[in-house]
Amino acid sequence: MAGMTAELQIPSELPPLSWTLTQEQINAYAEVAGASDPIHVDPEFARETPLGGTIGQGFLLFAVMAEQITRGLNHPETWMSDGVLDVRFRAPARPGDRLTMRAVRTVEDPTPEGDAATYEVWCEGPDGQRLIDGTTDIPLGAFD
Amino acid sequence: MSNPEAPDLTFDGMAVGDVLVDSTVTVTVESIAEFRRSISTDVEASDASDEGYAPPTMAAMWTVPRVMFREWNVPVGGIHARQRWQCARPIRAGSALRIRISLKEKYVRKDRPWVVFESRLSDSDSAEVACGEMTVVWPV
Repeated sequence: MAGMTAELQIPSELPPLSWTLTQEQINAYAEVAGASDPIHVDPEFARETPLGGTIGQGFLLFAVMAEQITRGLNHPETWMSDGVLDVRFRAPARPGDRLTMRAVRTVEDPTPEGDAATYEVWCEGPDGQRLIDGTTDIPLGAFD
Repeated sequence: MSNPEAPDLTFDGMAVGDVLVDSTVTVTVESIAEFRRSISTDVEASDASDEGYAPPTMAAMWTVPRVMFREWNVPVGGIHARQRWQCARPIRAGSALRIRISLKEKYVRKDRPWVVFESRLSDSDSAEVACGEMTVVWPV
């Protein structure tokens, strides 16, 4: 593995992914996954809570983050075979928010000794606030 | 939506080590397409998604809530605080996944109840497909 890593081009950052979260997407995910807590899908209920309105499901945002990661890899199936994603949810994402998923290498080392590269990942809200953050370990074979 | 006919899942009623779900779900071409649509950001899906693989977190983000909300009446208002997911092999259409969800930890911090659920998914050959941990501030 060490010989292979020296030849790999491990990007310092994976292509970011930006999109606008909509109530329709939240509803669609709720329908598909059964994650239909009223804080996500019932605007009248959500308005009366401390959050003041509906929010996107953590599961939904986690799934989009994984899509952003795999989209940036030459061999995404490698991440699906040995990848790790570990995040904390810091603040809610609301319908209408423009969100950006980002992944930046934590250590600039062109020849890591291990068999995976670690990236810091986060979901940025419209004002640049990190709504979700954590790390992902990407097997080096994903960059081959 | 949580199943109101199912038993209530309560903080006091759970004990560390309890297996809350032990169920099998088959991933189909249709369910992959449905899941992919629901997480679409209107940009191209990864190549792997076009080759019959399920999106990488489908095991966690589709199967786990589906079975959890089907087999338990889960109270509303929980806060998803942390999620860890480790993939062991890609999932393809036709895969029958065994899903076991257990309570790994349970504690009170700053007067709020917290739980950590552990999920383990395996295929029909009993090979591990993925595992994960979800930390939730339990609703009171």
